Amino acid sequence: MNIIYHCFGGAHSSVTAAALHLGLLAKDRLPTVEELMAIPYFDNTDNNDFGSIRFMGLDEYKNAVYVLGKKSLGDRYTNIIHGTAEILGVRHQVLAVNTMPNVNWIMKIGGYISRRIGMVLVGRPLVGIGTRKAFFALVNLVEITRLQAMDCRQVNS
Amino acid sequence: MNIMFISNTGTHHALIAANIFLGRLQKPDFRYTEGFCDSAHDKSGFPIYIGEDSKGRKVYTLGVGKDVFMAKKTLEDLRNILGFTEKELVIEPVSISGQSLIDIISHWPKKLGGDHLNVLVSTYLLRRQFQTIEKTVEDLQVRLNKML
Repeated sequence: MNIIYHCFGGAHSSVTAAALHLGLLAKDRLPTVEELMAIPYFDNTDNNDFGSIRFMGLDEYKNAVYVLGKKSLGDRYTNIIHGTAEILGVRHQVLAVNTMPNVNWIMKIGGYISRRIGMVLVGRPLVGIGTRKAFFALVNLVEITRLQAMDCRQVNS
Repeated sequence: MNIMFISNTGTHHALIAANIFLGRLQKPDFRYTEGFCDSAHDKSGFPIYIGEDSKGRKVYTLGVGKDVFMAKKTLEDLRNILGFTEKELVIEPVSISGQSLIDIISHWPKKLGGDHLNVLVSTYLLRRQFQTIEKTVEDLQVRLNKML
């Protein structure tokens, strides 16, 4: 199965969720800002990355985990992805997860300053603080996603 | 094979292109084009099935919002990830000038005459751009013939 976490820029909440899914971050404690910055792609994207589905890794069940930045298209993008997979007859192979509902204002402002304006020194610490605030909500989302993926696998087998 | 015409909405120029492709539209008269300006149909983000041509190719439209080329990139990436090629799914962006105006009026509130305005402005714009859409479809036909 292919699991695609998507958010506005594909740089913070989706990347954090993917890292949690892959076990790159511990789920039972808040990560330090340094740990967040060490995640591949975290706060490290540019305009060309919008729309690109980027591979993050394989989980223990061999599910491929990806991240995607889709600008302000919201949950519509989940349907676009699922609908396209349906057309190809492989709906069961894709699970798109919108991480935007878990993004707080600090992350939005920090992300804007860091990625859009390019003032990394100001934006990055804000993003770190915001991500820590949203962390356990993202843990919850990832756990639900893992259960959904497991469910799909059982239905398919 | 599946062909998906994408544009900012799935019920305006993408729909016209799909109908031209299927041979249902030869002139810019959209009165009998099913689903034309039906913004409610487009809201969910799911592809809209339009029909099948004589060669068994299924045609869809998809509204992807302002950034059509970003969506094209995503859909092509998704197609590759799922192990398919352009032989199974062709993604064809349809662009015309004035498409941002269509985007605005298709979100205009119903109570303020949104539906009427949507049909009126879209019909006017798309009639003027009909040749551009026809050219997009012709180019696609050439590409598809080369693919065979």
